[in-house]
Amino acid sequence: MQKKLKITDFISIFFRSFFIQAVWNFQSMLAVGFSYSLVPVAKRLFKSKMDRKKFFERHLNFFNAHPYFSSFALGAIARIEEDYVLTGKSDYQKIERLKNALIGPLGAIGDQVVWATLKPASILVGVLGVLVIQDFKSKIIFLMLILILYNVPHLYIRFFGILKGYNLGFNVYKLLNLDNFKAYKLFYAGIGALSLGLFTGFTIVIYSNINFRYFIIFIVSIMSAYIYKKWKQSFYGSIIFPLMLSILMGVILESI
Amino acid sequence: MENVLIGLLGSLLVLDTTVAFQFLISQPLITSTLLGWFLGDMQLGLEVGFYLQLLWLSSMPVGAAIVPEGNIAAIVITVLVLRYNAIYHNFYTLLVTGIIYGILVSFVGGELVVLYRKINVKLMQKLLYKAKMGYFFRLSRINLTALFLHYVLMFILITIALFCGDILYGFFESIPADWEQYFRYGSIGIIGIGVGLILPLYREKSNLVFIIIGLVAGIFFFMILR
Repeated sequence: MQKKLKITDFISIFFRSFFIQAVWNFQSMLAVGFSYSLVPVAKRLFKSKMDRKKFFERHLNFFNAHPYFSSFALGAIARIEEDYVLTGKSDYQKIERLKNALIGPLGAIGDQVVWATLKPASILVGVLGVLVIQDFKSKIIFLMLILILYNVPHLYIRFFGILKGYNLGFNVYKLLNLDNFKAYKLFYAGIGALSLGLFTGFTIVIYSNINFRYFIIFIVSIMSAYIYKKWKQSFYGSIIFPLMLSILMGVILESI
Repeated sequence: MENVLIGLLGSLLVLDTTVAFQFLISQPLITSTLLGWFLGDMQLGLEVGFYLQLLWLSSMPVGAAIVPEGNIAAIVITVLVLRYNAIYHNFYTLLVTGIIYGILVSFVGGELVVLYRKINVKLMQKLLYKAKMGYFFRLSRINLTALFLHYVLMFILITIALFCGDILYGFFESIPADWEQYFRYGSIGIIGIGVGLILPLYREKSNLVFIIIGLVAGIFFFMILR
């Protein structure tokens, strides 16, 4: 059967997906952005205003996912809606069930892979470069490297997520298993952990060479921030308390 | 006038945090360097961004969580440090006090995001109401309205925070110059705090091995290098 959706529609979905969180709200969460991204699908598949209205009513109620990984759901929904139009058979309850089933995996995988792995690893490489490299121009190259390390997989997930979701349709859930992203997660987590180790090692060498007091402050502030964060789970407190402690220790150490 | 210009530019960068693109341009390291370039001292901007990045690296916008608005803080702190370092020449004092002030700004930023998301609920309800009335959906207009609203809210916050910062830093003349050495300890503390906050992200055993390898390699390599 001749497919209705064209590559230009997927490109349009891809660009619209950059604004998927613009109307993020406590009631429907990602639903408005999700529907906004699906506008090219509605335009291509439905010609009458009434059909388009029904299409958006199906998708405006509630949806949530990681913003990048929502592309898998966008692709799958595009495929299913297209199939319904082509075959003339429709079961919109199944779409609703699929969307509800995807919320958990898309959020969990996205948070694990992007926020907890990709983002800190990319930035840590840049931070390490800025600390270690003396030449200013090379430091700027490391800033560029952050953007490359982060955005290549970011854009890949956004675009190929749409295509893979479209190819798999209802079967998209089979792809959404953390094991499928394990190698990628291990690679970036390794880079991040190694950068953090190198960063700490370099800082220890610098501070030990300049002034041993600096080294003490550095170690105490690592420990106090770590313990305070674990103990109170407060972001602001785990900055303010160790910061005050380091200044106070500085005053005491200078007066000895 | 400069504060308004920075407000206009800064709130554009802040859009990258969650509402649009998410290319990481809004991260303090990048934002502060860009602002440094805009204000004529890119190198100092990068240095400020380095400290701020370490503090805000561990905050993750997971699910519906309201994360501290580190990017807004970074914009305000960078501008104030760059502006007043040229007058007082006490970088560490300005940096550490700027961070304390920036934490307050980032908290207000987080509250504004809550307000923005509540307003989005109203926009959403309006959209659904129009749908039931049979009007064609104006999704693009709603999206643009939300983006503009976010932009305006953040512009107001950045501009007010900069004006208040100017008033606050006006009192810095009375701070004794030798306090700079104490705030130097604070700046070292910032780096330590950054490491301490990032560590929980790598608490898995496999990651700890990499951290230890990096740490040992770093110490030996840089000791030889120096």
